[in-house]
Amino acid sequence: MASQKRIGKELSELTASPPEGISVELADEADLFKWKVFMNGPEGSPYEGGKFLVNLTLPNEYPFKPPTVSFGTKIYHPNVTNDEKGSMCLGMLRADEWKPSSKIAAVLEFARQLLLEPMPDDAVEGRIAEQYKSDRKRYDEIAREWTRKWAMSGQ
Amino acid sequence: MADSGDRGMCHACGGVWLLNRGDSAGPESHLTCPHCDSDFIEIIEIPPESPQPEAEAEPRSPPVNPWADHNPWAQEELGSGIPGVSFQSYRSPDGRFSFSTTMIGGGIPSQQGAQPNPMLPMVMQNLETLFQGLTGMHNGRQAQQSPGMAMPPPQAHMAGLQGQETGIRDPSDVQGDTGGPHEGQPFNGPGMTPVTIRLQSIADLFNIIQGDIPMQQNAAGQAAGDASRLSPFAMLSALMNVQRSGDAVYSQEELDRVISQLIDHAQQGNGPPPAPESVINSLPKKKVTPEMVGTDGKADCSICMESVELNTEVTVLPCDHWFHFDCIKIWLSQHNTCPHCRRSIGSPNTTNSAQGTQEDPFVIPDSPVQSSQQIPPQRSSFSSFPNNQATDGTQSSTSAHTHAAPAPETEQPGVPQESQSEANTGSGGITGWVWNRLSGGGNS
Repeated sequence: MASQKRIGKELSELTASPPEGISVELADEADLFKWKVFMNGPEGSPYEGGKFLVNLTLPNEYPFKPPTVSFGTKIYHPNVTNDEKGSMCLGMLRADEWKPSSKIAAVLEFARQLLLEPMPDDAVEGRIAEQYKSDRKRYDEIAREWTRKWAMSGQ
Repeated sequence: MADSGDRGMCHACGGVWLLNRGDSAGPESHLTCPHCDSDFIEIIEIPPESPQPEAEAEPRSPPVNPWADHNPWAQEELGSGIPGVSFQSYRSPDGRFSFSTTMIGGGIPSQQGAQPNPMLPMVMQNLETLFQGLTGMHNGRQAQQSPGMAMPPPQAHMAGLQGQETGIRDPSDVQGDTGGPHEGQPFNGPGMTPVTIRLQSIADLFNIIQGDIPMQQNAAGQAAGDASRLSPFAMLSALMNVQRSGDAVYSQEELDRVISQLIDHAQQGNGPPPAPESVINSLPKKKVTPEMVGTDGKADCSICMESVELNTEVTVLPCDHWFHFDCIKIWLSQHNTCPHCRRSIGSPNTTNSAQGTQEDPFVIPDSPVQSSQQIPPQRSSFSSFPNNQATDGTQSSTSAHTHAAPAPETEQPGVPQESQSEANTGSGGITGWVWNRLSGGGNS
């Protein structure tokens, strides 16, 4: 139950002073381990103006095991799987990279930073990564279009 | 050679006489016609006896099977005088299967039957071992079924064997086979029964694998065959992992599954190994002093994020980072690194030095003297890189000590111990080194 205490602490910190462009709430008030995170597309990125739902799931062993992050809103991004799972690959969340002193706030900020600067060399969508590197303009277009289609107007 | 079987024939007068070959080594004059003295003669060699093995083999070997006679063992085995044994080899038309079998048709002397298949070639014995394991269960089932049939059990197995053969061979052969001399003879010893069952199983299996072979079997063969038709194949399939993963996969889907399994495994397996409980329990504990907290007088455990008051007892890692014992214990029991800077705390799992045992390895020594004795020979065997690391570790902790006055006594021994084990952890040590480099400045 040490995990719940820490999670509660982190939640209250994040609610009280959320990082820029990020807001968090519990998906279910009774379940501390499932969070709904709303992330505003960073300025200067093709995701600007969109509001993306990110599902954050904490394992029972948190903070000894890393949380998982997935996009509930469809997004055109090299590091997010283009399927119904929308899994995001974050290096710091890998089992061998995770440390319990990492905070959820840091995870979310890292995720948002990834929207601004995709990491095509660590991609889960190789095709998008290729396009990001070779045809940045076209990538921006599609990402913007997807943002308009899925991440705007209350989606 | 010296026998009286040879005859001479004179081409001049046409006479034939018995040739005494015993004198053939003598003068040439003996090789003339006794009637006309012509030397235009021919020696007709008559074989001393008809070769016994061939004469006996004729009726016993499976009559018309075109493949049967290619068995190189057939002649000599039959020549050894064991009656009722026949061999066949089979090669499927497309060449994917080749197959040889030994049939014991009965009439074996009982002392022969008691021996474990003396007549089987080595290859067949290996096959036997394989199929014996495969079909052990089904033999029992067949044995239960057999009494229900019209024939006594051994006969039933016999018939089953023939039935299977029908599938393998050309159906036209069956008639001749059934009429063979060994057919219909009852089994003399109970020892023969398992042999027959095994052979039947081989035939069964082969039959099933072939698939395209018509299932024209007599009733007994059908019954005996049904008992083991599907299951051996299922077992063989399971054995060879034909459909499921194993080492070989046959579809893109399976390949994807295996790859994702490997990825998952690699991700989970990449974490540093757990620290042994003895090491965890022996980590030094101390009360939080004003030097350990920040200038604002506040500090918290970075695992539970609870603030830690002065004089609270905390556990200090070799890297100087401290945590609640309950918190760090959980982490260390999963990974033997500092949750903050990732430096290894040292564990016998990652050291293979001759010093210490699994139970008493490099636990932070109570006496600094002991550790200073241990370390130098260790270091001499290090590569240059870990040496740098060790030096670095010492430096960083020393600089930390300028802030934490009471620390040195407890921590000094820990520093070489930590670097020592880290040097042996391979990549973990390097990771720790990198982390230490990156985060060490900010921490100390």
